[in-house]
Amino acid sequence: MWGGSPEPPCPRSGHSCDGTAFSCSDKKSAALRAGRLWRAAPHEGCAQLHKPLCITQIAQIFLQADVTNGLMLQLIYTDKKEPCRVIDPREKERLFAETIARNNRWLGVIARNNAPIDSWQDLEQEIKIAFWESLDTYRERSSLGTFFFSVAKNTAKEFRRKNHNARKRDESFYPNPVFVELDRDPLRAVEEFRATLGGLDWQVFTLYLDDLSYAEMSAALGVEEANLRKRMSRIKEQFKEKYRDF
Amino acid sequence: MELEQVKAAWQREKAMYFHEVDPKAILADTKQKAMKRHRDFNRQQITQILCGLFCLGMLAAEYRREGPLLANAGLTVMLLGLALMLGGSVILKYRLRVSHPWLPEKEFVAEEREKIAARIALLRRNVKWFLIPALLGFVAWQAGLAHSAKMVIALVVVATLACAGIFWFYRWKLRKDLLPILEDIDRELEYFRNSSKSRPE
Repeated sequence: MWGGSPEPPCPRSGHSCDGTAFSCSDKKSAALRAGRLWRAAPHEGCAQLHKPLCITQIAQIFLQADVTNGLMLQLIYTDKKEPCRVIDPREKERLFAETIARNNRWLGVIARNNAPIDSWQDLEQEIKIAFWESLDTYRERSSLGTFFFSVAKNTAKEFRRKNHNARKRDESFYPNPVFVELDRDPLRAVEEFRATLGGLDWQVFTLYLDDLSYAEMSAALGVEEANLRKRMSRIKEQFKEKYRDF
Repeated sequence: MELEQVKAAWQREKAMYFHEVDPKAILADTKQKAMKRHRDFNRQQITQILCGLFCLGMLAAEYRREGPLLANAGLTVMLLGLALMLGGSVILKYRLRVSHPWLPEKEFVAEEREKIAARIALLRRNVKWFLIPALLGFVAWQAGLAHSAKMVIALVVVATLACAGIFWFYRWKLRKDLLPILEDIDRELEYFRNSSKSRPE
């Protein structure tokens, strides 16, 4: 679609795009339409890189619109330094479905690693939405898997930060929550225990609960296996110490 | 309680939450939720803008050209303060809406820091430059309308209480909500800086 196959012709004039100006004979109406559609559906990457757009910049946009249903199919800003695109909707759906299907397991691991038990699904949903919205800016500079992990990791971190802070704030309102009946609940113990661990220990412990091997943990966290084994044995000791009487 | 027992409970919970789902169903669900989120955001913003404009309009209707100068000046200052507060918060919400989670971790965290810093700056700016002048404008407006001295004192008390309440809320929001996140982000950025320093050339 981008940088390979020729651009499809303008639906109004039938001319094809030369990449520098409108190929549509009705330049004024095309420019107006471009401006309107630009405002109606701003492309995040473009808006970030090229805002604010003046009328001459808008006039450099080559627009292809599906006139029959009024939907924008493709919008290319013809800046030679930093070309960007709005991905074709069908292509976007295909990439999304494929990536999610391929990385579903890791999506779960990231969600469990960064959210409390009752928010796993929320985080998973957040990541999916963030990935869906970010796909418009995917420019094939890295593999789609790397792009997905980048999005997932950053979204998870943001979620964790907000969630942790919101919980701390709520606890200041309700300082003594009553969990009498849950005192012996292993999942509550996990939550309690995880809250006492530092950043990396938290992740190691969660990956251990997820039944990942040390080799897989090492690949996911970028920490040596020997280091992970030491950490894990220390965490096990701490856990034993804390929950000996339960 | 044994760790293995905990691990088994975790696995059971995991199996309950996560199971293979048809990617097409996930896609449809995600698209629907993303669109709903946009719709909700726009609806919220439009409601806020309309409510704000309605309140400002109601207040502006109180303006009398032939009225006392003090009252008109007070009303104008108050309207201006409130309008700037409304405008600032609406613009900031639109600005903060944009997120770039595909950026490298360090850049993303720096972007998050900018967002939190912008929210903190807005709160501080609102209190310092807009809220207090707006309430002073309110007092001047009412005093200019030549109410009795008792009435003016009561209005000053009400304005002071309102100012104190809003000020307390802003402080609480800063202390409990924004500053801890900012500190957390700063710690993370510090970690990035240290790790890049300790990395061999």
